[in-house]
Order: sequence, then structure tokens, then C-alpha cells
Amino acid sequence: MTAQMQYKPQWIREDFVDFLLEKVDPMLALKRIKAQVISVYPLAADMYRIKLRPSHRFNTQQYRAGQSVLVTVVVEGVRLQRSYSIIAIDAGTLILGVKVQGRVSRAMSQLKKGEVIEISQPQGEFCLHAGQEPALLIASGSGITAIYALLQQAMTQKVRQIDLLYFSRDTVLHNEIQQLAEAYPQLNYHFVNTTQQKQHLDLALLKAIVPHFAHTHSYACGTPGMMQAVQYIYHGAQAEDWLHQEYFQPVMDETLEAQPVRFIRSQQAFEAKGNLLDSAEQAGLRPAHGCRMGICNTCTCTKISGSTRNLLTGEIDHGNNVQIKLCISQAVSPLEINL
Amino acid sequence: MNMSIQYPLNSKSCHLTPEEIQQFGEKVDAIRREVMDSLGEKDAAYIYKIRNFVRYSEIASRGMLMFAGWIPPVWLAGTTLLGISKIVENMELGHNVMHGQFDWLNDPSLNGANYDWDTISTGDDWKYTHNYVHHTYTNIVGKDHDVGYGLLRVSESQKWEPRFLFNIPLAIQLMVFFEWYVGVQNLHLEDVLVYKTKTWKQVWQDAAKLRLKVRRQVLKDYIFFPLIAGPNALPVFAGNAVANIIRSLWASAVIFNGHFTEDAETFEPDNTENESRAEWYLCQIRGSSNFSGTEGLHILSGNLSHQIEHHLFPDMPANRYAEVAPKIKALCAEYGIHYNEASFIQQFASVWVRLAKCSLPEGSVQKVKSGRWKEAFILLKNRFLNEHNL
Repeated sequence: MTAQMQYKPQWIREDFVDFLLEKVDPMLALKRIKAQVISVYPLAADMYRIKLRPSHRFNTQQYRAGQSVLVTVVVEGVRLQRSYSIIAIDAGTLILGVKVQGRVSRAMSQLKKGEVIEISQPQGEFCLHAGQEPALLIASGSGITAIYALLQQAMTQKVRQIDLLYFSRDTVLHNEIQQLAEAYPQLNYHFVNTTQQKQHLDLALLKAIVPHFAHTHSYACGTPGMMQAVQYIYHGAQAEDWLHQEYFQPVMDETLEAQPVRFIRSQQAFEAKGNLLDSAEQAGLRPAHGCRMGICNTCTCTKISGSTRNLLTGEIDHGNNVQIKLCISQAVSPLEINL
Repeated sequence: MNMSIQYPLNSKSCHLTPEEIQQFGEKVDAIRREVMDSLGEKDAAYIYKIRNFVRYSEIASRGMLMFAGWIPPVWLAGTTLLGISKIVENMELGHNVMHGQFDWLNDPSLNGANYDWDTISTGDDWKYTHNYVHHTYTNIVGKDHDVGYGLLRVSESQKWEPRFLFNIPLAIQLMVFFEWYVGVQNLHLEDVLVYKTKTWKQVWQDAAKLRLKVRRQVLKDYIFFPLIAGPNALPVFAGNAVANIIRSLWASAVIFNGHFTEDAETFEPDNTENESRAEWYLCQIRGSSNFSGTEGLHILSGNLSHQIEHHLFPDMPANRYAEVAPKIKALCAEYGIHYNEASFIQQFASVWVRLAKCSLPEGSVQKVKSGRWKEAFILLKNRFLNEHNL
């Protein structure tokens, strides 16, 4: 009942105001943040550096290195949202690193100069510690974009020692980092080109490079395989408190059984095994969604009854009439959802 | 026999075996799946076009009333256009968006959970009484409040009461003030006024959200827009009032045509808990009726002219019902299920025949038909006295 009592009619619809403002200037909006494309520059075969000029609503002051923004693009009439790491914010220009691996990133790489898209405020907790204690940065693939931002922050902060371990098939930002390593003796750069060397992250490798990793502020961002290896190593060394991670995909609990789920407004029922969003889509339903990783709130809906597991935190929620995000929720019991 | 609900005996539809019902359901599912998998750019463009029509027509009509409302032809044109704008907003945009038909666009402004329409009823209340209750328990007497709105008798299965003698005049004023009736539908006022099972205090508590919405609607249409029109305040006020009534008349006519036509069946509740999806499909078809017409008529009716398809697939974008309808019709023919379809006028006429029949108690309709007026009158008198002795 409390959730229902929050009802407040809008005096004027926000989309109507934005519709009028857009006629004046496409960068104007009541609450949303718009950004104009300055350039799209290829860094490697499938990696792009995209420069954007955000509107005045974008809070540059609030930005901390390592954060990301949610970008919304329209693909075949459908609004799609993804989170991209900020490489840097330079004199009001937002620089993103985008690896082409799906529909959204492909659309991003095809943006034309002058086009206007929608973005969010900088967000995320993947940020560097304060002070000058040593830092260990571990990246793989496109995870380098967030790590590169942390690296630059570490340099400005004059961190005593920085170890950067970077696994990649291509050489995105490799030259830039190499130049930095030559200029700054406190940066130790370890690049593993995975096309030439079948080397993956393991305890021996990490120990060889940073013997005291278990007492070093460590930051990891990369592919699921690498992230799992990092978690395993730090768990074994009981050093989880030193580890900061940035995920791309939530991790599923494979042991849970499929559960019946009912969407009451659309009168649809299906069996859900994975996350609720994927399961609904496999059943031919098309619930609204955005980032697919629990950030943007687009797929938030009311769970009327049943229990769900939060895929990011592992928490189980038994509450009735509570808000859940489909993309990071897994059914633990039969569910009724107000969709 | 594992029937979830009791079907009326005078049905025009064949009785199907459980196996046939299951097959039928699978075929309906296949039709749905084909459309849902093909949703894309065209459907997105369609709903944005509809929304833009609503925006431009509202700006134009309000502009006409505000700046030249005192000129009769301009007033008439402005008022009519505003009425149409509100109709399209309520029917093709609001009703369909609130069903979640366009949730897949991921556009928060067209998301069913957030949308609130330009009418007295709160989006929240509507999503409960309509999307949940009416669409789940369609035409089940005692469960679906849309069966007569607690005001009318539209089915023989509803117990006759003397107040239903006024079925026809009550239905006419229901149409005029339809947006208000839909607004208060969730309060079940008949429980206070007729059945005394609810108190006014409870009504006041239940109406918290509604009061906020009424305040918004009344201030907007009857105070804000007249005030900013200055010398044109009166024509603007009158134009807004008439536009709201035009919308109410049209919306109610479309809805009557969808469920109150003569052959649209109502059902007795039995064990709906155990109803299978295929059985639910059957109920939806048998309890709904379509009307034919031009593309413009379909848009103005929010594609509820395809009421059968809407009830089968409430979350399918309504612009696709036209393409699905022939397939459902063919399927119904194959299984001997009556597919209730006629022109707007025919369906609307049959609504009034039904309302007239239902204004009299059971049994008396046959007597009137066969000219035995006196017997009918005595039956009516006895029923009347019975009611009052109780």
C-alpha cells in the first residue's frame, strides 16, 4: 500500500517539455543530460575513442577517475543503454573508450559528428584510494579504459609505485602507456599480448610481478575469466579487502532451479532460470530494459510476491510489493511481477 | 469434465474437448509469438507518430480556443479537435501504453508502469481495475467490475434489482460522465449506496490518490487554461468541458461495443484458479466483440475495435491487431468458436437491445416479446415487492 500511496500526478509531462525544448535546441532538456558527438576515432580494429561535449547539466566536478557513464542510443527505434568507462574528462570534453562487441557499441562507433545522444552523470565506485600508497592495476581487453583512467589519476596523485598488468589481444592504449612508463620510473608496466603468449592470470604470475600484492591496493577490470581468476587469487590470500573490482556482467547462481514467473499486467507466464530479464526475453516477452547490469533502473518493476536473489550482492529478497531490477534478479521461488 | 468456468447454455460457440482446447491455445500462442518476435522500428515509429499527433492536436486546439474561442466556427473546430486529441491520448496512446505494449522501446515516457493519462482515473487505479481485474476475470459476473460497473445490469446472471428498470437512462448518463465513473470505479460506490457494505469513511480513505488526480484535471482544464486565455476564458472553459464529454461519449461507446453486445458472453465464476491459459483464451474470445471500420475508426477506438485480439494479447502493440485478426477469425472458424464481429452501428444497437432486456427481471422478457404484457407486469410487481420485503 505504501508504494501505491507515493502516487503523484504530474502537472506537466516531462516528455512534453523536452519535446518543446528540443525544437529550440537539441541539447536542451528538463532533467535529462544530452551530449553532442565531437569525434569517433578508432584506437584498434574494434575499439573506438569517442569524444563528447556534454550539456551543462553534466557534473564534471563530481567525476572521479575510474567512473563510467550510461549512454543511451536508439537502435531500430529501441532505446538501448550501456555503461562505458570514462577515459578522461578534458576541458569539458568527455572521452569514452568503446569496444565494439554488440548492438549498442556498434551504433556508438557509427555515430556522426554533431549527433546528440543522452548520457547519465558520472557514476560508479571504482575509484583510486587517497594518498600515495602503492597501487596494483590489473586489466584485460576493454577493461583497460577504466584502468587507464585510474593510472592517470595515480600519476597525478604521485602514488609511490604503480604496477600495471594488462592482458590483451590488441594494443589499445599500449603505446600511450609505454610512453608513460618511459617517462615515469614509478610505473612498472607488464603487457601480455595474448595472441602471442598463452599466459593467463594466476598466483605465480602475480607473485612474480608484485610479491606483496596481498597488501597492495589492487584494482581489476576485465573479462569474466580474468575477474574470476582475480577473485580466486585474492580469496586464497585472504586479501579481498584490498581488491576493488569493476564488473561487466553479473554472475549467475547455476544451482538454483527454474521457477514459474507471472507478469500480471501482460497476462504472461514463463519459467525463469537465469536472470529474469533474459528468461522473459527467451519466453518471447520484451520488458523495458537498459544497461543489463543493474545500474540504470530502466527494468525496475514491482515484485508482488515471491523471493529473488540479487545477482550483484547475493542477497535474497522475500519482500512483497518491492522494487526489483529484472536484469540482476534471479527467481528463488515462484514470482508475481507487476508488468 | 474439468471446466474452469460455466459457459452460458445459449452460446453460439461449440463445446470443445480438453484436447481441442489445448490445441487451440497452442495455435493462438503461435500467432502471438510470430508478431512479438517481429516487433521493431515500424512499431516504434507508429507510436511516436501517434504521440506527436496528440501533442500537435492539443497545442493547435488549445491555441484555437485560447486566441479565437469567441468565434463560433473556431470554437467548434477547436473543441472537436481537443476532443479528438483527448480520445487518441486516452485510447490509442494511454490505454495501450499502460498495458505495457511499448515497454520494449525502453523509453521511460512510454513505459506502462510510469504512464498516467489525461483523464480523471489515476493511471495506478486503472492498471489495477482494468489491466488486472478486467483482463484476468473478463466478463465473470461478480469478479469483473466492468460487467455493468456496479450501475447497470448487462447480464442475466446479475441478480435483478428494481433500480435496473432505469438501465437505459442510467447507461446514457454513464456515457456522458464516463471519465468520472471510470475515475471512481475502484471505490465501488454501489457498495455504499445500494448494498451498505462499505462506509463513506472508507471511500474517503480509498480516494486519496483519486483526489490528487481530480485536482490536477479540474485545475488544468477548468481553471488554468481558462485563466491564461484572459478574455476568452468562457469559450475555453466551455470548450474543455465539451471536449471532455465528447471523449467520454466515444470511449464508453467503444467499450460498450467491446463487451456488452448481445452475443458477448458473461460467465459464472467456478474455479478460475485452475483455469489453463487455453481456457482463458476461449473466455476472452467469447466475452469480447469486434467492430469493423476504416483505419481512422480503429485509431480513434485505440484499436479496441479489435477487442477480441486485445483481450487475447493485451501486451501486443495495438497497431498489430489488424494483421492478427484474420488469423484468429480463421482459427475460430476452424474450431467452431463464435467470432463476434459486426459494424460499429450494429454492435452499438445490439448493446441497447441487451441493456433494455436486462432492465427487466428474468422471464419477463419472453412475456413481453410474446405480447403477454399483463403477466410480465405481475411478475415485475412481485419481484418489486420481494425486493422490498427483503
